Parts: sequence; C-alpha cells; structure tokens
Amino acid sequence: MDIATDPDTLTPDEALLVAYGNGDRDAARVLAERLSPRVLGQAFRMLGDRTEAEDVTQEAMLRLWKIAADWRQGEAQVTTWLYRVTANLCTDRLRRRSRSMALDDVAEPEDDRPGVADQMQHDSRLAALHAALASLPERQAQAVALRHLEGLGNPEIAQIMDISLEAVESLTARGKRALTAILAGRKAELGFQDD
Amino acid sequence: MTDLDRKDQDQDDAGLETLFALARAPVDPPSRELMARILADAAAVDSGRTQMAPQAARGGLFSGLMAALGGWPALGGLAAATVAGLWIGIAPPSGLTGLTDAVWGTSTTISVFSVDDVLGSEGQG
Repeated sequence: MDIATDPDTLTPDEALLVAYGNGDRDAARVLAERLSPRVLGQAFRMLGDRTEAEDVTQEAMLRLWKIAADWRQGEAQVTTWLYRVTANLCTDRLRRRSRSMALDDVAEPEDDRPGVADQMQHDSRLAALHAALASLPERQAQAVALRHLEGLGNPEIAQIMDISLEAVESLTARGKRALTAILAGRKAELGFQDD
Repeated sequence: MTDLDRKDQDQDDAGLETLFALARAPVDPPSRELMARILADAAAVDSGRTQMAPQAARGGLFSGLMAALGGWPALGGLAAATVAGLWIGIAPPSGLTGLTDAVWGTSTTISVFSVDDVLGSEGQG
C-alpha cells in the first residue's frame, strides 16, 4: 500500500520522510499537511508577522526536503529537528529586526474609540513582546519562546536545543528577567498597571 | 526582598504572563498558496535528486580517470604543461641553454676511433 494513501494517520513522520527521500512525493504532501501548521504557528508566535512566518515555514520545510535522503533514522524526531530549525530561522530574523528597529519604535495606540483601542493595545503589547524578544541573546530568546510560547517542557527543550536541563532552566530564567527589565519602562503604556 | 518589591515582582510576572498568553493565541492554518509553495519545493528537491542519481551511476573508465586527475580544469593544465615541455625540448630558449650549460657544463664530443679506422679505409688508395 502506498504510504501516502494509507488512511492510518499514525504513520510516523520519520517513515514518511524516508519514503519521500526515496521518491514518494505523496509522502511529502502528507508531511507538509501534518507539519506545516505547527511550523507556521511556532514562527508566527515568535515573530508576530504572518508574511515572515510563512517565509520561515517554507524555508524550514525546504530544509526538511533537502535532508530527507540523508535522514539518519532513530537519531532525532522530525518534530524536534523542525522545532530547532524553525527557532534558529526565527532568531536570525529577530536579530536582523533588532538591528533595524529600536524598541521605542513600536507603534503606540493612537485611536481611542472603544474596541479599536483594545485591539491597538493588544497589537501594541504583542509588538512590544516581539521587540523585547528580538533584543534578547539568541539562546535566551529560543528557550523562552519554546517554554512560554510553545508550552514545551524543559526535557523537550533540552533535546531541541541540545543542552542540559540545567542550561534550559538557566536560559529561561535569565530570559524572563531580561524581558521584564526591557518592558519595565512600558508598563503604563501597555496597560499593565491597571491589570 | 520587601513586600513592596515582591508586589512589583508579582506584577511584572503577571504582565509578562499576559503577553505570553496573547502570543499563544491560535494561528490560522497555512494558506493554499503557502502549501503550494512548500509542495513545489518538495517536487523540485526530489527532481534534483533523481536527476543527479543517474549521473553518478554513469561513470566509466574515462570519467573515473578524469575524476582522479581533478576533472577538465586539471586536465587542461596538464595538457598545457605537456605542450610547453615538448616545445622547450625541441627549441630551448637561448637563456635556458646558457643555464643548462652552467649547470651541466658544455657537452663535447670526443672521437676515440677514427671513422676511417673503423671502416678499414686507412692506407687504401
């Protein structure tokens, strides 16, 4: 039976990737449908920009297609590998963004109509978070994003980042402290003193 | 840490958690256009692999020799060096003759036997 038409959706990602590496393009379609939403979600939560997140998703999936023929079975999970690639691509973009944009450049709410003001504050808060993430050291930004945006446990983050549990704990703690310090001067503007 | 410090810390943590919660909101699934781009990449990478595989299998003795020498660029250099060596052998530049004389000395032909002696023509006539 062709693996890609197999109704059993539990066919492991790795089996599909190996099948694609052997020329089964239907396996690539199943993998794309299964993994792209996850990659896009991770990229969007980290970058806050749909167009950039889509570009990262395409690039991460392209790297997956390229490594398929050389994939070493049993060494890593496909999802772990993709989390790592996506996190690296996102921090590359955050770093470029931080060079070209100061934190104070983030737009502030200007329209005070009900509803619009809430939406603008929502957007402003997210923009502030992404700008603050962009100013963190790369590894801290990755650890914080995987822990607090993706909701992953420390053991999985340790695998993704290829570091120890202690290093994960240290990176997330330092990252959160740094974010708090960066955002401290904007609490009133972001509406946190009323919360 | 004083109670005031702890209150500030709690507020900061709550503010950061609020931001994280906002960012964790569900994301719309990939568009058809994005999926098409991703699958086009998959097809292109697969095509590239299948085109490269026969080339690797087609190698014969000549291509193996070429590869060992370093391919066409290396073969071109080898051919140029061969022609240059041949030309120097046939028509050495004057400067080179002076140099070889200095290194090896001037060659002199010494005849131990008279040609006539060898051919037995001495005394005839």
